[in-house]
Amino acid sequence: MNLRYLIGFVVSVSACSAMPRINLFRPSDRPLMPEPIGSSQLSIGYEGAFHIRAFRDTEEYGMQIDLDRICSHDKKTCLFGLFQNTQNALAALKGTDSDTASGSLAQQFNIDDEARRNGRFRPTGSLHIPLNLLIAQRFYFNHGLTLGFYVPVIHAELKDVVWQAIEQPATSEQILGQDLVKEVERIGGLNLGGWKRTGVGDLVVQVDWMRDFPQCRSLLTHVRTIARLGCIVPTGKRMDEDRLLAFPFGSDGAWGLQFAGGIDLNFGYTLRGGVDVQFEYLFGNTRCRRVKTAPGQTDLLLAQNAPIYREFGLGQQYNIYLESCNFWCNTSLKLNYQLLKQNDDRIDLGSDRIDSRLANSAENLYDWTAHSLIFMVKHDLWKDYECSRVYPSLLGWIKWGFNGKRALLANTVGIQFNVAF
Amino acid sequence: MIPKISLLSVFCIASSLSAHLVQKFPFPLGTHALYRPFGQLYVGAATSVPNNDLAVAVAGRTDTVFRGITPVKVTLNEQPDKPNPLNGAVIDHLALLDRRPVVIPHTLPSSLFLIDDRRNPIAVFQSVPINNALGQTAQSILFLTTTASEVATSLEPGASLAAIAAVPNANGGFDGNGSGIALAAFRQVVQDKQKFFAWDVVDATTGASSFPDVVTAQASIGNKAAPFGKDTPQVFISVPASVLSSAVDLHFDRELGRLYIATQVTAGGAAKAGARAIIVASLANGHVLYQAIAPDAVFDGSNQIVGQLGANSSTSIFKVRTMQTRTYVRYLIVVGGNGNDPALAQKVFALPLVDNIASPTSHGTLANVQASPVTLFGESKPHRFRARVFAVPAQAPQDVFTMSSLPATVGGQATLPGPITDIQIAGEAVFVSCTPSATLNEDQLAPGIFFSQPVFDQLGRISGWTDWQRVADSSHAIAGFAYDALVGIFWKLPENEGTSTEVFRSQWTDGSDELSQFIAPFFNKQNGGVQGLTDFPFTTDGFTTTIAHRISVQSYVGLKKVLLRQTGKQQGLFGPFESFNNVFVSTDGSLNSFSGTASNLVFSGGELDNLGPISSSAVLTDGITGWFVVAGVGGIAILSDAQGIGWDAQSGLGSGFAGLSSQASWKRISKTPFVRKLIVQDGQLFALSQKKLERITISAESLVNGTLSKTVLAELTAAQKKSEASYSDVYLKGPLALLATSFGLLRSGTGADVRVDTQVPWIEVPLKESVGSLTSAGPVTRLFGITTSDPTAHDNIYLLNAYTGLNQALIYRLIITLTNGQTTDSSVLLFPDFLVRDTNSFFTDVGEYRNYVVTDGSLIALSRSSFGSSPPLLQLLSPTLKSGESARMRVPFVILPENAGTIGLLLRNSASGAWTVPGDFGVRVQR
Repeated sequence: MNLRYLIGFVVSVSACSAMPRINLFRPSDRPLMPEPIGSSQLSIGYEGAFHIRAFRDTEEYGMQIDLDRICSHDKKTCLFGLFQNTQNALAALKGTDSDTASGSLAQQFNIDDEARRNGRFRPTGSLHIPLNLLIAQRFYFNHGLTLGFYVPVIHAELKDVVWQAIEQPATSEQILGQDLVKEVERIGGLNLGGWKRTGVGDLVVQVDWMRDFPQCRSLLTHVRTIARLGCIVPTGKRMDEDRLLAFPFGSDGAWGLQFAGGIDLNFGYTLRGGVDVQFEYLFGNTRCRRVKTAPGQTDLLLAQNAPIYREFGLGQQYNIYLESCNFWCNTSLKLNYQLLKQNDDRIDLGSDRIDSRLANSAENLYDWTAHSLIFMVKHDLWKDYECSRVYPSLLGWIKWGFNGKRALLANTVGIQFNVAF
Repeated sequence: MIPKISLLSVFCIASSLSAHLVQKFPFPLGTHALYRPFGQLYVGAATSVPNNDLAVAVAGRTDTVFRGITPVKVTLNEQPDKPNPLNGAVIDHLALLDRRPVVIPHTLPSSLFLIDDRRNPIAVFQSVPINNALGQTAQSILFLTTTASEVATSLEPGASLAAIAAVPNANGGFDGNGSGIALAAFRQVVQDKQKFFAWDVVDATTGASSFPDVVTAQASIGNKAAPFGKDTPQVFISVPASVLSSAVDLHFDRELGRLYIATQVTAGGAAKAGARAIIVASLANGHVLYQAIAPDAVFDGSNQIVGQLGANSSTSIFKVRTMQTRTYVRYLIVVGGNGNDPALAQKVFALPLVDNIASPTSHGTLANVQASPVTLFGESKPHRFRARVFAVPAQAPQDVFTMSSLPATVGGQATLPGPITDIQIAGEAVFVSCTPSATLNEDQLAPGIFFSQPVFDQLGRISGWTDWQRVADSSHAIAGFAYDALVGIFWKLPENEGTSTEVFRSQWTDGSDELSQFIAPFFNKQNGGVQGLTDFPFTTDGFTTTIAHRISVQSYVGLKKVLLRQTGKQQGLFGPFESFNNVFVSTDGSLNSFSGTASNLVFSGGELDNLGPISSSAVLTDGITGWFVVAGVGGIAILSDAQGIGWDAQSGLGSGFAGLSSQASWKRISKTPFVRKLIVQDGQLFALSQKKLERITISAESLVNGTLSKTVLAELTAAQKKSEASYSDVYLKGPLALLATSFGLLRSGTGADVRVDTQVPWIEVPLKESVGSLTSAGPVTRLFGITTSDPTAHDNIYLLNAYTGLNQALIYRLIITLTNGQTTDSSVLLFPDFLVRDTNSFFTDVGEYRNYVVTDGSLIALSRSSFGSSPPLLQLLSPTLKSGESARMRVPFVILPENAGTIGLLLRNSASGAWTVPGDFGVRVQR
């Protein structure tokens, strides 16, 4: 049994993918797809983030109250400004009966309550994702069919987390509020410090169909259509509900389906352009999740958790690219615009004790988008198709996340080694 | 060395106590009336001025000028472009018929004029001259009212509208021989197949119209007053009265459907003679049918207020109104009493009325004060609460109040500075204005507007009244006023040398006023602004009782700062005082180099720094020494010198803080953290912190020796501390204490005395249907007490059951009773507030969280610090809100700046009567 099958087997039992709220590549992403050569192809890529920012939503609507009207309205913000400028530790205690510890503690603020930003904190810290290992194994069959197995491995770290009260303590309740984050952490069972997490993402099993249509035209010389159908297996590390921004490495335990399609157009001999659209439908699931229980609550400080059914919004990925193929010594250059988007999630509480409308007003359930520009360089390490049995190639990229909404935008660099047999 | 203390004259601002002047008229004003639903004030001229459009003028709540509604040409009796008889006229009488003024000009003294200023051009409807009871044209009208003069909401179209006039006899008297009550309906009539609106002055005895019958075309006579005089059977007892004054007052209660006629009467000379000064009348179908306010048997000569038995005995009632309490029962409010002493013009009494339409003979008459009111519920499930009424009429002398009955005495044990010029009922509060009178002003108080509110017993009856308290920033003689209770605004017509030409309207300051500017540097927003405001009236124990040197004080506290302001002073009469040019500023928390007189004392530094945010203050005296005490996060501090002296309490603290020891400085006497409230009772200090209630007994000696007696009366258990429970408010009445906690309401145990006991048991007071928890008692945050000066009387408490965690709030009401000065099992009872039968629970559902509740009987104010994107709010509930009704209707009382964050307790300045509200924005005052 040759190596390629062994690798294919290993990949098939440990791979995964999904859509966390960040613009990291997933191994099944279209920009990383190599040219189909041979009967199978293995791809191993590395992506590292060197700068991560948050882009939040600056619109106000529905039950979302602009709690930070005094703060900046910049869309681009520090990491913990992903959902709100500041975090409300006092509101985190609300939403429960008065005879609970959190309710009683909240009731101590019965004069000014949340006024003057009582209990408001601004957390600071930095998120590092030094490793996003992208593993893909593709098997090529007749009639343009491909069977692929994809899985990422991620290592992420949140460091230097500091919670700073917004207000100087000038009133008795502001003095009470200075240590409120610790109380929320204690009562809510949260861990509001840093963390290190390593794990695999979701396994994606994908079947591709590809067909080329040579064109006898002077400008448009070739058209390729691609259709993909995938299944997301929830093998990825799930979101840690008790930690700050501990995002899932996959679909947070949800099975899912991928539907994708694209078209590539070749102009002349060296210019290629194309679009690709991918949709992900995740099946809802029930698990113990943090839930918003009071109007002023902010998404990083949700002290209450409950078994909740979550219905995921449709995930979308759009890629538009322009490529100069083999412009010099088997080297191609490619500029890719990528839009990641996920529609609103909805949760069902299965209980009247928590206001469903309120719970669904949490920012982390609203849609998110991430816009990135990716500059890619590909170099084929083989020369003659007829004489080669192994077809290695290298792909390098630099990604600039330049805009988004309720999403973490990472600027990354990466390299991927493809080898086809 | 840089001196830390200096006597500064930092502000030299002339004090002004006037409200917002809406308009100064170039002629004297006479009459006025307020249309309550829209807050429109109508005024009438008292002097004839040619071409005066403003002979009747109107202004709304926010109008900056009055609008004249008596132009030269109007549509008169549906005839366009006619000369207006009211233009330039003197208006003798003005009343409102729903929202349209009805006036009687001096030049046509027996004709009614209705002005409809909704039409353009303005329409005027003139009546025929009103006849007296003999069918002769009246030479004047003694008093005018309508069937819709005091409506709280606009009437529906087609509502019956009528004017009621007291018509004199040919001699101008009201004692008979032609005098009577005339009735004129304003309605659509048909004549010669024409439909039009007109006055129909009816025969008030028969109800006959003055227009021909539509069907039979038979001519009617109409226009005749129902005879009224000293020989009216409902007036006299046994023999006709000997004197009946023409000074008459009429009040029609639209809901009861009864007219009340007030006059001054002297009984006949026979041995069993007697007379009633209040007569009730029904007006069904145009018939004026008189009823005795109470049967003859009720009057036995023991001063039953509205009548008296005895030869030549007098009863003088100057004004009459009615009131429905929030517990639904109805009362007759009268100014006057038995006798003919001029001081009766300062007396106000409240008498229960029968509200039982099924018994027309007793409906609207005096109720038996010994009978319990009847609570009515719906017949079908869930048996919703409908109403509460007095159903049993008074039949015997013991069934009615006398002039010595405290439950009937509006104003409690205080006396007004002069005779009452105007009276208005709003909600369940009585407001009166008065002019000064040297002979009647025992307490040497400045005149103005005053109010009193009732306290209730467990049956929902009035059991007492609070002492008169000044309101509306008033310290001048007031000729008339109108209180727009919906928004808490006073209109004032001050009297100046016997006339009134100006109309003032109370208005909240916006931060640019003298007081705000004065306070701002000491209590800036970054430091949390004013975190506590306390008023100390001139009657405070420890203040001087020497009339010439009396003082009232307000204390403003905040982050490490205390400001003591003199707010009242004897300036001929005792009234409000405001000065910003005599300020003593201490930066080391001491009074070193204090010269002995200042209008304002500002303290910072010293021990105050250790207190951090300060939120409460008190004046304490042990009878020998007096002290100012403040408390906050860092404990409690007292202003005293090395000998433990604040001032000599036997001579009392005088004007300009005279008597304060110049060696005094703030000294910390307790390090109990997070003290929320200080209360002084019987010379002892009670300090409530988040976790305990302490009683501290202080003397000068114990201060020097450091041997203060501290007794912990209540303290959270270890389990309660672990579960983050807390105390939030305390209320004291003699031996009884109420504790508002995050886990419900507690009271001190039966038989316990918080004034002397060292161990006090605490008992939970259940509050049915409270918000906060489904399984245990909801949190109680505030206890707002209504107290009379009679220590044996009930106290009432408005209790706020508010929970931040679920953004909810309810108001409960409690009745506090001591039996022989002792706490019993029934010392703390819920009001008879029902939503459904057998469920005695809350008064009203406030909806969202509120941090304070305040009521003066008319308004119920609720506040909340900023929340979400909303600035702090201070809202008023409907003034007519009653038990079991929804509190959905709310109007803003004051608009605060967008960037304001916190709001404190709404408080009335005892010296000026002005509402004041503190917060991180400083203060706002309703002037």
